[in-house]
Amino acid sequence: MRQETELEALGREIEQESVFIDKARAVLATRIVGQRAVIDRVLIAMLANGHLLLEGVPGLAKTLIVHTFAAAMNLSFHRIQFTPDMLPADLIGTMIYNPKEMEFYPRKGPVFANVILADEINRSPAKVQSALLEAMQEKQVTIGDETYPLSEPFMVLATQNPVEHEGTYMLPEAQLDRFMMKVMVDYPSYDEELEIMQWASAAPTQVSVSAVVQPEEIFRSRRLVDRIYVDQRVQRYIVDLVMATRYPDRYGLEFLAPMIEYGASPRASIFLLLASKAHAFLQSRPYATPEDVKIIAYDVLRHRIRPSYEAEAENLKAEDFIRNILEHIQVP
Amino acid sequence: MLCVLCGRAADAGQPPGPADVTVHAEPDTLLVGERLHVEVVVHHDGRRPVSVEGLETGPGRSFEMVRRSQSTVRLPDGSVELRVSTDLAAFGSGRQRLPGFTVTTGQAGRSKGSRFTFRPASSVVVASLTDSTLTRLRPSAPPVGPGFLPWLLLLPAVAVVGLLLFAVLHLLRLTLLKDSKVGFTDPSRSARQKLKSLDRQLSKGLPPDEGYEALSNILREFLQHRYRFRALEQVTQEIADELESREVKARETVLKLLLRADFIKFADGRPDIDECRSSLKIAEVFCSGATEQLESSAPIQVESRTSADDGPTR
Repeated sequence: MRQETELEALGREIEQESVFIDKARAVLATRIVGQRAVIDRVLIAMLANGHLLLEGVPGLAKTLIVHTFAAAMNLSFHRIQFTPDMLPADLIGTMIYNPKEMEFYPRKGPVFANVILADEINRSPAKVQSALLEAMQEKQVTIGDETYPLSEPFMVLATQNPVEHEGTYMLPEAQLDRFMMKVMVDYPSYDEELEIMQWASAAPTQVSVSAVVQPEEIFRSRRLVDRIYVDQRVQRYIVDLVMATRYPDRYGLEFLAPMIEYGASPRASIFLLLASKAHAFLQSRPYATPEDVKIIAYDVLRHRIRPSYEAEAENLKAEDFIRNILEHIQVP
Repeated sequence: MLCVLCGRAADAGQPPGPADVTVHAEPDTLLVGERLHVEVVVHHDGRRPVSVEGLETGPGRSFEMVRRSQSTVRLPDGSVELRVSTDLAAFGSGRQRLPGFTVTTGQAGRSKGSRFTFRPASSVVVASLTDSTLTRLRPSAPPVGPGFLPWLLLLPAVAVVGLLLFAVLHLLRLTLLKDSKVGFTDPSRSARQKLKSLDRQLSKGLPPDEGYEALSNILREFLQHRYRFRALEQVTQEIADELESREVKARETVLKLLLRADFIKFADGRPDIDECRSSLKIAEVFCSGATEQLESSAPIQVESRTSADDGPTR
């Protein structure tokens, strides 16, 4: 009798553990019409221990998706509405003086939760946005002289309106790079719009969301995602894609060289790998393929490539460069 | 060249008078229509007025007056010098005598006055480049004829244009040849040759998993050339979509081969040599276009996560 291989065993475990994905999708579907790709990206970010930036015009259910997701996952959730007059202390907390005991004590801010919805993050100035840096990268916050670890899982889901809207501040590059993915939330299709309209008119009261997943399941899934096999060929494909954003001429894409001011950082390679694994997990597959990489490439790379002045003049966006690169780099 | 002609009334065969007359002319050789500068100097005692007139020029003669000026200078010894400058246009051809003129002393109408006619014996040579019957004035300077420079530049220019034309035609020919070569290269034949070569390599000991990788590349290259889409840069699902949109027969077969190759490549699958050979044969039939044969053949077993006999061995 043939012995079960390591990858087969992993595949079986993934099949068992990934059941909660369908449960979560079903719960989200009770409140969200369509937006399947966005929901998948939220799940990928959660499985890969990353943060997500959602961009789209107002009214596309960005906030509702995050709120429902946190409720379905049974995670503590704080929504922070970013405003132009906000201070970093409003986000991470501050030291409060207690006159009775004549000493300062820390008052933790809303960043202390499992899921943070940084709503309209680009409405606040850079210093407030930067206050999220330590929390996102180090999973800890320093108030006064003391550093406080954030509870796991910790995930920042930020929403932003397109920067060309009035009263917004462009996110700093360092801040952007810390988001695993930037997902563009698009308008619903004709049928979806019809369904949303009928739904809103028939059930104006909010549908309550019950928790269908426990945090322990998330931790177990994350450990499985870490074990997902990524062949050297796929890893090299990822590096080729990222290097092509930095040195397009080395990949026969000379025409892109003057169009890209700077390419993706090494975080892009790391996040492409992690997100590919998480995507394979969503497919209940114990190994990642170039297809996983291609599917999430736009979301991982779009905010890490800065178009040059020439590109902006020609109305070319990062997505155009990613498409060119994906169509040019040979798949293993 | 400066030609100096001097004379007195006696020299010119005229009766002697109270004045010395000198005639200067230059040049001594000129072309028809060109200017001859003639200067008449009359040196006299200054007691009576002297004038020079009646220059024998005009239409139908050998010279025609173009310009005339005169000046009178009293010298320290009390004598007077009359200087008459003329520019004459030369006509006719051959040796031409200088025109004659009349020197009048005193009041021409009174009895004390006198007139002397001078006919210089000297002559100038008028060379004719044109019809000697030319009677109209030539322009003061001959027109600038075409120099050698434009011709000098024209020759290299023609050579450069010729070379460029040759280069363009040569490139065009090469491109057309290349295109026709590509166009006429049979992707099916090329793919089958590569598959046969791969089969030989397997016999020589190429590991079956590497054989599958090569098979996947050969198939995608064949699809790219046969159906004109970028199969080498596409993942299997994208290839499936392309084949479906083109309604390619037996696409299921080739997709199963590609999926199996994906599993072996990305899930560290370890096929045996017989399976690899069997897949090579199926691929060869597909590439030869014998789709009916493929449709009737048994489907290929595609394993995604689990394998019956030769699963991943990590």
